[in-house]
Amino acid sequence: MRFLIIDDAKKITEPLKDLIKLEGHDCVVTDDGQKGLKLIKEQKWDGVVLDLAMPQFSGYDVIDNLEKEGMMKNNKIIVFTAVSITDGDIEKLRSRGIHSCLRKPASIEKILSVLGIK
Amino acid sequence: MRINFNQGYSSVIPIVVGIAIFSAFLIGYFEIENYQKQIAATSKEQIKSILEGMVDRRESRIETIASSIIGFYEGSQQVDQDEFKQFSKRILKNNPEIFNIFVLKDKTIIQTYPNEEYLSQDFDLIFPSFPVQIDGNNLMAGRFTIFDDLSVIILFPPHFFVIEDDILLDDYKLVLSSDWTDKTLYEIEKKSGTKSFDNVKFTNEELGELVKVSKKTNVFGHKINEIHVLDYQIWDDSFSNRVDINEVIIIISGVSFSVIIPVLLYREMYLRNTMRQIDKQKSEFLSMMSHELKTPLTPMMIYSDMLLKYSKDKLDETQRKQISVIYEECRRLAKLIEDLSEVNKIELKKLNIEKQKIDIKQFLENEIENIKSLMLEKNINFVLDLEGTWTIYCDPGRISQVISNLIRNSIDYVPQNGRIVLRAKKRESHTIFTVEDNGVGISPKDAKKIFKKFYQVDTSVTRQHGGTGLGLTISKGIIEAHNGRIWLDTKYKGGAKFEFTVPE
Repeated sequence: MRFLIIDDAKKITEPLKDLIKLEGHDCVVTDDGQKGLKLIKEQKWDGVVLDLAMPQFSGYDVIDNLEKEGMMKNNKIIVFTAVSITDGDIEKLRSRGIHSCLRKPASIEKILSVLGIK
Repeated sequence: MRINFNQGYSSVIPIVVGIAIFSAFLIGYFEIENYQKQIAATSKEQIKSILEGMVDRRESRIETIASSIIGFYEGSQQVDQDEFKQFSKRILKNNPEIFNIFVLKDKTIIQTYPNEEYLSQDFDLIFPSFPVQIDGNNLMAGRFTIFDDLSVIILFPPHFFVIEDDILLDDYKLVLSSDWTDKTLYEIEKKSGTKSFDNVKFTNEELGELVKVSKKTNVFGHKINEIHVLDYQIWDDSFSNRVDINEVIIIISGVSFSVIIPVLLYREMYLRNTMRQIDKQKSEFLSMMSHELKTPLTPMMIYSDMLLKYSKDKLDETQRKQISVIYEECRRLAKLIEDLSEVNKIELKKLNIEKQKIDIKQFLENEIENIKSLMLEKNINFVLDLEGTWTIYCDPGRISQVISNLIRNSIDYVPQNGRIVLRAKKRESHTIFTVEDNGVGISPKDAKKIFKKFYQVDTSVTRQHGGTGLGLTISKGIIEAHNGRIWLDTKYKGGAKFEFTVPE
């Protein structure tokens, strides 16, 4: 499977990349929201891990954009964030087409389960 | 932490309030002043008509007396001394102020009572000018024609024209004078109940506030039908427009309140604004810290977990144990950050409660499913005590958090094969939940403190299971955000019994 990780922190993307590779899957990493958006639109992914708090182009901006272009259904977007979000916020995001939300820090089991690897 | 002084409130409001208060007092002051002026004016009007009435009454009295004497003479052929004496006695009995009655034939006194020594004397010789003086008393005289050369003169004191009982004032000064003589006819000063009858002087202020009544009368005079003017000058303290204690009180109160209240208002606004800013900054700070702390934890947790799961064979027993500790501590730290964030929200009253209608049976059974695995290790005997089912209105995630917290605490403190009971009962206006166990229980001393932040009854026990000491604090915050109550039943022996209510 191929996964896309969009997060501005190397310390987040590196471990995730390592994990996915250890499980024998492919992974592309980008630290920029706009580049990530482009990649989502241009290629097919089995899952996109999206950070919310990013400078210049945030995860919310990516979601807004995908929603506007009606691209949410074709993609499995997983929000992975350190921002305190309530269950209510998660419901709201789900209703907009987000597949699931992971709170940082998350265990490997949770991450793999949400990605659909285990 | 910087506080911005000019944010969130305006100093205009206290100033406006101050001006409003001052204006109100100012209006009050003018009202009182106006009222006092009216009272003074009314008082003056009243006394004026009283004095005018007084003169009228006395005039008619003298005229009546004179008429009766004239009538007496007209009705008899000759009036001798005795008859005159009897008649005069009667008059004097009814009018004790009368000093003397004379009957004159031309200028000669032919009758006189009660001062009989004047008989047969020339009236003009004895009394050449006015006022007439007898024994040092100044007297006014009223002269009336009986017929032809007969006339009657009635002598009376000037105070005959001042009926003190009619003057219903407490502290006043009255001076009676006339165009007939330079000397004051009568003066009276009444002050604090005592009266004095000489040297009555008006101050400059009083002269400006006097009531003056002048009345023409022909009732007295040396000659018949002589017309003279009686001048009354009267002053009473009800005429004065002096600033009295009421007005002073109003001015002082007005100024004080119009300064004090805006100052208090300003202070209140300032404090509230400061508090709001402090809360806001605290909240922002904590959000930021929480975010900053969670970020490095992520790779720490993932890598330590990865080492344990994917490099198992490359590690020896000791290394595995060490990495395990790292991983566990990361988890603890993550929970602590989350809990601190929750506690912060509770303290700032920003806990979001999203209530829904929940079927209690389904809800509790779900809870138990989630928590079952934790009870395996100690082989805990778990009982759900629920009769029937009903709907409750609450935030399911949050209430689940509370139940889970209570049960986890119980798990920590019960022995092997221990017993935990989860009970729910429906009451009129709320549902009451109970979590009781047969563990070590909680002493009354600890009972008060358990809901406080970071308080742990036995740190060795809870630390083992990753407790932060914030669980009960957060549970309390959640229940109170639902307007419910949570408490420890101190009467329960044989373990710990926690109860909480969820209102409709």
